[in-house]
Amino acid sequence: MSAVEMSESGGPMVPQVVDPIELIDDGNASSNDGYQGNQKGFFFWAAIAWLIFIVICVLAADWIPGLPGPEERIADRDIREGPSAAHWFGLNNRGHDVFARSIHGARISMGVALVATIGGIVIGGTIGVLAGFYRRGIDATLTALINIMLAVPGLVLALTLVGFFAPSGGFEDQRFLFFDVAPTTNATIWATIALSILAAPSIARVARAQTLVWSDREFVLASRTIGTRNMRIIFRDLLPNVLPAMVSFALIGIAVLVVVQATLAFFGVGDVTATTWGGDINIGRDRLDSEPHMVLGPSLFMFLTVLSLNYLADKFTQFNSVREAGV
Amino acid sequence: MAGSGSVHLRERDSVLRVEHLTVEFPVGTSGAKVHAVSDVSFDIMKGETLGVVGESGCGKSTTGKAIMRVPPPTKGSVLLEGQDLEGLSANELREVRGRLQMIFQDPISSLNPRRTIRDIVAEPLTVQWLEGFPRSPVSTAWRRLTSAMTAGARHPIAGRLARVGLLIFFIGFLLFVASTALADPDDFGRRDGGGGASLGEWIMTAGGVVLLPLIVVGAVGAVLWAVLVLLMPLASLPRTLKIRSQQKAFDAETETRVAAALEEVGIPADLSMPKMPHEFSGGQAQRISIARALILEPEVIICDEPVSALDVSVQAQVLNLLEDLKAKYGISLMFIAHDLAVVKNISDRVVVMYLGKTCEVAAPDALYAAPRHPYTQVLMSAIPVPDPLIDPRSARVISGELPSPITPPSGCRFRTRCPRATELCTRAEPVMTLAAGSPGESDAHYVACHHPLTEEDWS
Ligand SMILES: Nc1ncnc2c1ncn2[C@@H]1O[C@H](COP(=O)(O)OP(=O)(O)OP(=O)(O)O)[C@@H](O)[C@H]1O
Ligand code: SF4
Ligand SMILES: [Mg+2]
Repeated sequence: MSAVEMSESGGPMVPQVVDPIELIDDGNASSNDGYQGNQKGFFFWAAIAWLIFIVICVLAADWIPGLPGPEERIADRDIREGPSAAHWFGLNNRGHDVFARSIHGARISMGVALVATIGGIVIGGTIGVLAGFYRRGIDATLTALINIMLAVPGLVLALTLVGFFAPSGGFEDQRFLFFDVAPTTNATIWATIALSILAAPSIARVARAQTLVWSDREFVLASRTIGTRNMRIIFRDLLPNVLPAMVSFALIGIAVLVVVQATLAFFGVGDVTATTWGGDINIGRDRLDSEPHMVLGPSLFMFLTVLSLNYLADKFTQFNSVREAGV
Repeated sequence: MAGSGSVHLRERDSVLRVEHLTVEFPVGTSGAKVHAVSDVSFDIMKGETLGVVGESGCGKSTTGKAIMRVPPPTKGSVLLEGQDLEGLSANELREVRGRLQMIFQDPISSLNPRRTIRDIVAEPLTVQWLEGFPRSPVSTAWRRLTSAMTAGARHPIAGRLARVGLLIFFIGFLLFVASTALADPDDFGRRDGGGGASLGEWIMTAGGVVLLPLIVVGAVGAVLWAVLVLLMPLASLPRTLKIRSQQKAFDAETETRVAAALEEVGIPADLSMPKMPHEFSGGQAQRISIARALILEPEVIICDEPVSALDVSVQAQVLNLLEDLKAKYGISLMFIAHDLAVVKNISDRVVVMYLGKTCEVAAPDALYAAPRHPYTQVLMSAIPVPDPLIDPRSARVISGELPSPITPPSGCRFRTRCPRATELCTRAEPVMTLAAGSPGESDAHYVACHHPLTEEDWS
């Protein structure tokens, strides 16, 4: 890179006309280094570590040695006993270990939120990309659909859907489509569906806006001029560019869904017998003034998870916009 | 210069012949239209470079894109070696498209940031190669159904019906949901929304009735569609296997062709192929675009201001590259620019455009020495002249904004800004006429103006 060296060594300040192609040869042309958004600090790794821990909780809570089960009565202890070295967050009103329940609660809390987010990306992404790609009449109709879905208060919709399709009486076996399922499973499935529907319209809007922007790029036009089929344009040219924005938006969405799912449990809708963070907060809230430790565990887990997801979503967006700016 | 007519088209066989090209974009629902290109004609001979100049917004890019059929022109015809592109089937058109390529204004935006240079440059080959494998009947049926459904969804009445029906339905749904949610649960945990809910159900039914025809058609379509989608992986398995089995050989062959194309435009192939577009400068990106256009060995390349986004030093390099390629492969170029200076040295013939119309067609030297159209003269005086003795204040500058292409002026479209305009210019649109030289020869000079410039105006 002779041009740079010359000006640094105080050489003649003649404007250097260097064909940028020369710069390729030193194998140093990557313009990705040195952007601030790329730096991964302490919080980045802390957030990653916490989420890895949550994933372990989701997958392997039952096999963690020494960890009491969620419904296990801790012998020779008082119920609602405060935190101790053996039981970090104390016991709840039925004498179950709150810390252990928080770990076990990750499975349904996070599982439902994650599956619902993926469902939201599939439904919302399809609607949004089709609206943005085909435009005109199709866009107008799909946008009307999105707006109507956004106009329905999400929580009310979720409460009704779950309450209607999976009433919490639990007096008989219920059917989900063609399958016999336990009432609790049915409630969980409907909660997941309700949350997907809840997440879909806002994801669709992001997808539509992104598709509108990207499909105006000249590389899409270039693809058209060689007779590329629409499906190939959507899958090769648009989705890889639209997906990152959708995913970073959906990461924030997971955090929201964890909270909404907790709210559903809080209202006693859905599977109230399942161990979830929201359900446990609900159990402990009556005694918030005298025994706050019962709420502390699940709240802390939820708070840290939501915070980590939001932080990572932010970083992910930054990282992507840097790549974009580098273009 | 509202110029129409096509006397300036030559009799000889042209590589590209554009006749009465018109492109209109609808604006809003009022039926108003943007008259982006109106009755433009020109032709390009083998190995010739046609310059197209005009100020920003005059429809140059739209002309180029209409020739490429993205989107197709509203009216008029485009003939590539005598073959009309209108009415060709999708497959025939795909074949033709290899012979006609376009390079765009913004080099960065011309490359997909998520694909490697190898994939980007190989894409035209890949698309053509994949088209060589016949599709299963299931996938053909799926494509027919999909386009029928898209067309149906685009139908104005169907669309409006769908939106109104959806709205009514969801108002009812909202009412139903709200009443149900607010009701107290009974012993079994069920909620009965009472009167509100049944009113909601009525409204939902009303919305459903509006939606019914669409739902029936849509449901039948959706079921068919789903069946086809489920069958598709199985039905296209033989095709997929065939593609897989030939992939290696194709990749190897493509690799050498991509490398050759990249070397041709001065990009070191080995280093560049695995890289992503953001690792390249604007000039390099434009070279990569040129490589992509070259790979199908086109006869005509439409260059839409290929250098206007580049540094001056790089501009000359890219222009030289285009000149070299043209000489080497006998490619014809349509070269779009917004000022005359860029096209002057490389064009054999220049078309001057204003607000979607052609004003003047001539060889660049003749255009410089003896401009006939008042607008051409204005365009030329906009070129900075490296002569300190010339007083910049003497430059002719036209006043006023470019009129809206939605409501272009009557008669000659240039009349609102033309110093020579008369009442005749308001009434009648001037047509192309021979102003000098002989028809069909390189000295032919055509102008579309009621009061063209003459000897005394140039001195
Ligand atoms: N898709 C579209 N919808 C509506 N109007 C359009 C569309 N594309 C172009 N136009 C209009 O058509 C006219 C011509 O645009 P075009 O891009 O062809 O101009 P241009 O000569 O290439 O200008 P520039 O030098 O700025 O590239 C403009 O008035 C523009 O606003
Ligand atoms: S003189 Fe009349 S016809 Fe000629 S450019 Fe001016 S307005 Fe148009
Ligand atoms: Mg343009």
